[in-house]
Amino acid sequence: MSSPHPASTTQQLADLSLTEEGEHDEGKPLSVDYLQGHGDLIEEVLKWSEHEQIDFMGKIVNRLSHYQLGKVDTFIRPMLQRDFITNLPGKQYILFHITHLVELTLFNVNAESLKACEKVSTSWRCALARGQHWKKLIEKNVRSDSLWWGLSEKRHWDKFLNIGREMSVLRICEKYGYDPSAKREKLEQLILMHVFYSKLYPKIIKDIHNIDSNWKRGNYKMTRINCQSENSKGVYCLQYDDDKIVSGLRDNTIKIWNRKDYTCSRILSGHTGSVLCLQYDNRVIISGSSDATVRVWDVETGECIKTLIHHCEAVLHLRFANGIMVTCSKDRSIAVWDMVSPRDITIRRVLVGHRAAVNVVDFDDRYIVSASGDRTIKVWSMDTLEFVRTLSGHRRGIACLQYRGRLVVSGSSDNTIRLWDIHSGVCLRVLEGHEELVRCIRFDEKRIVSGAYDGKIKVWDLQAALDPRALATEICLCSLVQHTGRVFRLQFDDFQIVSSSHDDTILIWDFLDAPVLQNAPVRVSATLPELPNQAAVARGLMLFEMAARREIERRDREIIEEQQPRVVPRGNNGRRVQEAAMIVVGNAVNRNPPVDNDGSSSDEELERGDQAHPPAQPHNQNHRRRQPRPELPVRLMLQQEMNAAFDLRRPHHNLDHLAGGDIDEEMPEGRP
Amino acid sequence: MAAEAKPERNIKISSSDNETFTVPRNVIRLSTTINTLLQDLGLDEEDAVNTDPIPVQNVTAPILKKVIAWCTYHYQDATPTDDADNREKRTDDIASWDVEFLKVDQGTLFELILAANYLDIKGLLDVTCKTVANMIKGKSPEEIRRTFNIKNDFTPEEEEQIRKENAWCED
Repeated sequence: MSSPHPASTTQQLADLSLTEEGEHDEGKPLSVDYLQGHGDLIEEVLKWSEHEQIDFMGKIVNRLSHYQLGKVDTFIRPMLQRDFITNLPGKQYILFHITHLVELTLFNVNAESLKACEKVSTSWRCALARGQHWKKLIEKNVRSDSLWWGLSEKRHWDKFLNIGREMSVLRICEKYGYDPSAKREKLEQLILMHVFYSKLYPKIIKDIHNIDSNWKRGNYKMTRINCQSENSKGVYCLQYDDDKIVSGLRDNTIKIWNRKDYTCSRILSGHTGSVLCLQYDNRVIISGSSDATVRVWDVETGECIKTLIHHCEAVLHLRFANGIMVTCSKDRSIAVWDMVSPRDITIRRVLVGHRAAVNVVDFDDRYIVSASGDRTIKVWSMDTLEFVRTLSGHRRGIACLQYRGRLVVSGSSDNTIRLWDIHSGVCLRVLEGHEELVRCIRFDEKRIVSGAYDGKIKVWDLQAALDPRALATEICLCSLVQHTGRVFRLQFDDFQIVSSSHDDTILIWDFLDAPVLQNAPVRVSATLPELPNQAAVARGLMLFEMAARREIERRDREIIEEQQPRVVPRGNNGRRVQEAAMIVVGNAVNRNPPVDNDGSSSDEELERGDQAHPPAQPHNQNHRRRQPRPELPVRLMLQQEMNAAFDLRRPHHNLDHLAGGDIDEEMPEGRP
Repeated sequence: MAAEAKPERNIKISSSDNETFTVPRNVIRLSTTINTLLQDLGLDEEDAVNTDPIPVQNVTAPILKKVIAWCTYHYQDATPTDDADNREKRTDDIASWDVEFLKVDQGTLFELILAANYLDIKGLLDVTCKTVANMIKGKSPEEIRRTFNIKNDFTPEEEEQIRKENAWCED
């Protein structure tokens, strides 16, 4: 087997020098001796066996000068090269398999390479058309990336995918007004398809770049729904899909808006207080209200099919999934429900532990996460429904959070957003920028979107937030200012944000069909990956893992440093209990613990439980050093925690006074 | 050759240039073509005597030798799931042994692809095609032409046409 030199740079340089000198060689005459003798010699050599010939050639090659070797190489190299794409089908056996073979070879190539392949030669281009590689590439991307998938639906090119040749020719002809009967020949059809899909691909890429740049620049098309509520104005909660927006209002109703013309298609009445939270699926809408009830509605008919009376104060938030519902209330408790059917919902357990209203809950099959006006986030096991740990760090009450995977993102009355690792309890990052209470927050694999009481919505780059090298200025992508009142709730996806506010509007911020920016550079982010969401998931996991490890190490170092000089203060009995609780429970209690907030109702949904003056101690060391305690039996822990909490109410503790501001004028419930 | 205990049974195959190779039955099992042939001809029976070598047309001795070497190394691998969707279209997962094994000139690689296809050896076909894909990846059209010694046969008009079609962000 011959083994030629690899086609390296040195090789190419050698070629260059050869061609130059080769020109001088052209004219050199061959001697008579050579001309007479070389034919016989060749005959002689060819009589030998194959391996003898190789041996002989080896001996000759060994004696050649570098220049001669280079020259020989120019004979040999093209002989050893193969046009894999063109020549494979040339061999006539089983044409089908060979086509498949070329396909297999090309399928391993990505979009950039496909572009290059197309320009190589006509037969390469035909091979691409035969294999319909652009179509396959688009189909593959739609399967593997949620942004592609979403875009295929929004832009309606999904109808050209996952269909056979005849069908796709038909649809292409339909789109461009061609006569399909004129395109009967197979090759003609293939080329038509090839050109169509190869042109579609760059359009998709361009769309993806535009969307990304619209998010980064805060460039959107705005649709405004004015709810025109009569008495109490304001939209507390919402959820949307492609067809409708379901909103819960301060005027005690649920309004469903049609997304075609943004008219109100249905009004659900029944609650006797503001609708503070809701969630729907394809069967039911479930809503929670300041009338302390939870109602279940038929999503099709709008009929109220069940009312759950359990909480004794406003139901501030609820989530349901997979036959489980979790509700939380101003009464400081969390209720976990079994949902057998929309009519058969029974309470399974009540989780107690928060010392102020529980403003928000979220859960998956592993944990329930809750956040409260008592400034803590608590994590509960979904299996046993018992307390697992507390995430502390926020300096005032927590208004909102979302939990997914290992990441918890929370927003607080201290105007910050915090990112947490739910497993270790460490805080990974604090995002500053909002100037008032952060009232609502959502995140996906790429972005965090938060809404605040000053009416502003901010979009944050999640990956940058997890990256320690990212500057604070790089993390906040844009601020969206359109609401004229507190932002109460928002939801977003790859293409839009839908937000609701105290100003009685629902705003749709559309980043897909945003106006084209003039004098914008054509390529804003040349580094945007071809499969943005898939790449974001992979990168996000990596960044998260690194950030979590870094914070856990730092925390552990601080614990070690902390342990030596630590003196447990010996005061009265109550103090010792408190201290013990602090050590055991981890960060269940702050040194200057937030107070019980009886009567400190802020807006009617949100129980901030804040003091007017935040605690004076440096907050972000306090929570770290006490996190890694082993998880204790929960009953013991709760008992101690309750003791501690109880103890805190005693007058000998030097407590801050309650906040008096932010009182909901119209619904002064909960006030003494 | 007498029929022996199954694991030791050998099969004779001959190349297009009439060189005969003796290959363990378990090794040549990787070639679906030969495997099916042996089963169809009843040559897998205990008493079957495989006197005439199986002719493998279109595959020369040096290539057949390499194919057998590949099969000998891989015959104990877990059988890959034969599912087109399952087949991961990645090119960076070629085992290091295969990378070394496929450090051959393009002519040989070309012949190996044809042989793997003819003999229907999925693993070898896959790994050889990935190797070619790797040779294409990341190259400009001109580099690809140089790599495979291909003549650019587009007319200037055609080139312009393709350039237009491929203009990513310009329209």
